Amino acid sequence: MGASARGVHVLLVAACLLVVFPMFWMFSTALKPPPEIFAGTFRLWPSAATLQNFTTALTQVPMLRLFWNSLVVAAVVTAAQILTSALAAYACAILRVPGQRVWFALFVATMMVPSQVTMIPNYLLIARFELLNTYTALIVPQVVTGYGIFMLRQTFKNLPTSLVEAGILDGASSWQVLWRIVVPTTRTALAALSVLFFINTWNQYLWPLLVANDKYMRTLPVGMQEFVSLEGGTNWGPLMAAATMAIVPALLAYVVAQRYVLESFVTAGLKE
Amino acid sequence: MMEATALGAATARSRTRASRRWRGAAVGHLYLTPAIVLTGLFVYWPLVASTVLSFYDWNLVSPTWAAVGWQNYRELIASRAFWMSLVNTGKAAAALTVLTVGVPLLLALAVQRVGPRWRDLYRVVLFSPTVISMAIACAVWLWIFHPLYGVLNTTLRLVGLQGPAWLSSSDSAIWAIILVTVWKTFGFNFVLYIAGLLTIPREMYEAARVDGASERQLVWHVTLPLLAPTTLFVFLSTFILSPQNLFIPTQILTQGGPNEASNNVGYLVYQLGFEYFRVGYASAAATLIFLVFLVLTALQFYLAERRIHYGR
Repeated sequence: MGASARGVHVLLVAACLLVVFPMFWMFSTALKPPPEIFAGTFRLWPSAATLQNFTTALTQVPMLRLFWNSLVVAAVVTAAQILTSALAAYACAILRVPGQRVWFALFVATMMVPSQVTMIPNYLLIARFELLNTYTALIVPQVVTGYGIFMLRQTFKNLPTSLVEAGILDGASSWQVLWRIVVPTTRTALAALSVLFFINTWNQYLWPLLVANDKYMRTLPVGMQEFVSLEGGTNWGPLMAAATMAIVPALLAYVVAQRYVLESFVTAGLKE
Repeated sequence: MMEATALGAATARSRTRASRRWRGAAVGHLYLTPAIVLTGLFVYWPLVASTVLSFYDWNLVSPTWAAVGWQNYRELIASRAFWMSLVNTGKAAAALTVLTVGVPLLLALAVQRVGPRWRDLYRVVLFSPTVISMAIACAVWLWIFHPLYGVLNTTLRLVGLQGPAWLSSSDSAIWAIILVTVWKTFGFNFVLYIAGLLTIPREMYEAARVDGASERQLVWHVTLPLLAPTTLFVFLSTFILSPQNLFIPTQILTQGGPNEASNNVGYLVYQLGFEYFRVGYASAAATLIFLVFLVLTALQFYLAERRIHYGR
């Protein structure tokens, strides 16, 4: 190994340590008893590791319920986003609908609207229909995405014309062409986009924070903040234990499926 | 022979006609309906509603609204909080863009020089913050930055230094937010760069080497120019997303404080609307921000179009 190769490794290992340290520190704190947490001196690993923070966290916050909420919301939103995107992209890329260019531009333009700009009217709408603290509130306002329509239109446009023509010659309806030809041939792209949507929704914070303040209707990232108190009385041990319980399954899933997740981000994130 | 060709042409023509009729069928609109209804209801209607609300004074619970004309806008433009958050958003967006375009590029170039198995390992580790929740990560960083018991300051104490209260000092608060955002988001750009690097043909390097180019020259004259489309994409997406990315760290780490020193426009709207319950005032801020954002995005796309042509 030459000197420059060693230098490269040193740089990369340092970067990895910086990246991993917060997650390590979360875990280490979660295992520390309160006296060690508040010792005010540097200690990398607890001298008397304990699980008491985990039990406290589990009794204070309904972790399983939060998991379930996050899972339901992420799964339904992902499926619905893929569906609405595929339908609209199909109409824009393959069919000839009057005004399709205008509609497409209007869909894509939604990407430029920051969520902070629309959150107040959307919140008022949900509150007006008394839907606060329901799955409907958590799910319905997000089931369309300009990004998804944009990406899938590109994908569908790249399909060979002969494929669709063959379907038309066979007398298939547009609905059949979509489900029997277009969707099956682009399943890799659809799957990649689904991974991206799922991770995004799973991690989402602002919208669930606004519409779900009931202890049992929160999603994981929101429910977690229960331990954070602005007055300085934050319960650090249980907070880190809860964070560990929330993050570790996600990280494990990522490590197991890493090749696939990384590829999804690249294919869905970078258009040709 | 002649007949056969003519017949063939005729069938081809009628096929094209059939295909055109099929594609142009009236049902096409039905496929667009879900997206039209949903974007209309949850994006375009809110934009209109937000603009309308911005001319009213309303506290979120009172049954009566008062029309106040341009009062909200006048108050906003005269307020320190608005200008502070605008300037801070610009500052943070610039810092984030420089860091999350530069750091991942450097790391991707480094990773390219190690063996494939090492490369995979580094890639998995460096990307990991991207898949976890920003809100949960911020809770962890809140603990790291704790002035008394946080690991940052206990480590500094080991070497005899007294670290500041990172999150409540007006000098460091915004930098803490920027640091956390970079930590959380750089991995995506890093992976995009790696993918971009893989598309550069080997022959390019070989040809340059034959011409006697040094390693450094290869980076400057082959890698970076050929990576330009990726870099531009990374640059634009980072800049456009940065105001959005700042929201969660601001909400959890500093609440925009101290004294607006780490506030930004997205969080300001949230604060005005959901903490001070001044819905009309918050909507005026949202509307102004949207306009600023629109101009900046349009400008960016205009500049990007002129520099690089996408498309097939």
